[in-house]
Amino acid sequence: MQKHLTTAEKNKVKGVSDLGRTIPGDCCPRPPCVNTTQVSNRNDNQVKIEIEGSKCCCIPKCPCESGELVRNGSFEMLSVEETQPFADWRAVNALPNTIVSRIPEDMVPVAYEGIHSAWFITQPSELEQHFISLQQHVTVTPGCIYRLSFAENLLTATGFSPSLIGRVFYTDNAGSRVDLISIPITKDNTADNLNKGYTFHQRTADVPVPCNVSSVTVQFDFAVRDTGGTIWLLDGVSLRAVSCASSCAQDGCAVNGDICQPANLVRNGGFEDLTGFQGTLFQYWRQIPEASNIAFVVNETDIPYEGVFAALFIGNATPVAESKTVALRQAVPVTPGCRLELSFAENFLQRGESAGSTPRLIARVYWVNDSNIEFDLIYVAIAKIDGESDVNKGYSFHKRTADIPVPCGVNNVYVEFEFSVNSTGNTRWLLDSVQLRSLLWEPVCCSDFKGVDKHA
Amino acid sequence: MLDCQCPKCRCETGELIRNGSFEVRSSEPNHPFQFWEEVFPNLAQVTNDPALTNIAYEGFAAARFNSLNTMEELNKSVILQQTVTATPGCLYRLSFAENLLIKGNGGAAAVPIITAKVIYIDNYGNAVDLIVVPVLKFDQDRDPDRGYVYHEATADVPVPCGVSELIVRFEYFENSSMGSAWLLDGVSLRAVFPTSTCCQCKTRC
Repeated sequence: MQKHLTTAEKNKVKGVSDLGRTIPGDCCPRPPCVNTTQVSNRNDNQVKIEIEGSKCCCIPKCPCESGELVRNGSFEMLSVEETQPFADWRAVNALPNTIVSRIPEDMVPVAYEGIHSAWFITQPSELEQHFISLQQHVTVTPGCIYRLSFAENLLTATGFSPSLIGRVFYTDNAGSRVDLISIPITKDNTADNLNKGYTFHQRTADVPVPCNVSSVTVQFDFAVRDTGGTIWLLDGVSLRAVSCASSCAQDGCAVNGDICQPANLVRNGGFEDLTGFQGTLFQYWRQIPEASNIAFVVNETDIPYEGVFAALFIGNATPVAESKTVALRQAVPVTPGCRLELSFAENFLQRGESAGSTPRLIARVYWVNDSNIEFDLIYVAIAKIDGESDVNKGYSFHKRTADIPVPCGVNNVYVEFEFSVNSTGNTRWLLDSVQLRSLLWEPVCCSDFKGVDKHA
Repeated sequence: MLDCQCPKCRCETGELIRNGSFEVRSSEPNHPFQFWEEVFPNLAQVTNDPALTNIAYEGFAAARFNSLNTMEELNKSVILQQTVTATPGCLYRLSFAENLLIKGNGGAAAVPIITAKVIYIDNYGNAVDLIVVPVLKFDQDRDPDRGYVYHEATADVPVPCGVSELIVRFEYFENSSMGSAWLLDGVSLRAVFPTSTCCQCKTRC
């Protein structure tokens, strides 16, 4: 059957309501439907469309990139320029005592993936301050939201608190650099932070690239005060779009990003705000039970994953072995119908005497019904069973996507991390960088959507 | 709510890998874990021994690639793989965590390698890579026993419109005398975007 559509009908098929509001619809980059053809060159609003069930789809006109944007993010391609170590990357702002290099001649590769990685190295000099940036300019699509990923490995340090900051920024009309993503990593020069292998990092911008911006810079700033000898490795740099349609579209392209927001829904997920109450230092988090001398959560400054602080779960020493449990919980407003993705980093620091195989860290995202029954959307159980080979190995990154969306009618979920152990000695477990995001997929239910606040 | 998508064109919203956490062992021949097949073992194997696989990334168990010890330095290899049903035109992301427990010894070539792949078989029987993640461990002092490292890779192109089956494969290889031990856990394959690129034609929807 063939039919000529009115403008309103055409908009409805495109995903635009009669009121002109964007309605969640198709946003996947793909060629136009072959069933849709323009029948008159004189009237752009007139289309011929074959309607057969729901086989014909909306046509996105503003897709974000589906591929990798960073070139040579694995640093496998070396530069032909003598002044630059890697193809597509530029070392800038370097003090003369700081370099970014390929594998030094007296070392063997230590790579995250592939063979090569970028080696940030400080050299001996009278000047203690060391600094260098490694950057790449990337063409992006205005209105799209991007995610930065990379892996780093602090091999050696001789000074205090070397730092590596991963950034994605653009330059505004006034010439100022505006960060879309910033991942600051500072590590004290302690055995707990050095030579622990690669640690993966990933963060999504809370806002899209502005509509008048089509280029961003991916940059890593390395700094330390030392006498030379610090080595920090970087590898696996990636920048990808997480949205599939631009929010800058002016032509009715369906954008569902205004409903399932990709911004971090967890407040104080980095545990940087210590102005909390209800028995915990951490703002927005509630410790359960609120008061306990046996198991509790404190802030940790010596071994953060990102930023300055991490949350440290402690099962305190007791004369006899007993069960010790404590949880951190946060209520999070969510949008019904959206799919959630939880990520966090954890570091099992110490197994208490007689703890055996009992240490557990269980991450959950769940909702509670009127009968107080809990329903898991995401459940990640981490068990430390082995004696030595799973203690103090540095941070591990975890990410889990819910298989089912937030049910219709559910406006709040709980994000909870429960630590438990049965031991006499001290058991310690670090947690940092908790993020809960909605995937930019179409919500599956409910016509009356309300957006939720985003939190850094 | 307006739903203008072709239902048959939707990509999967859930996990495609079965038993990606290796929590369920198997007694089926050549299947150390349920849904996972061990193929082409050559002086190496994938073990499911609970005593050797209890250093887990998540859950209680992991898969462990072990090379056998030999008098001479020899090539040792094994593949662990799972076939999954996918939707043509969808873009997929593979993630996993690995932990090199013991690095084997040998000459300069004693570099254990795990290459994670997502492949499909084309009409001519050729294996075509959609995702390739090579992980190599060179350094005896700085690589082994460093805990789990998370990896994530997204295909740059969607599954071709005529393909509905993918193979997720972990290829282990080293040249050594004393063998390595490498843990694998948390394998996941999920669609990145909600809609297939193949759905523009009704005959393919």
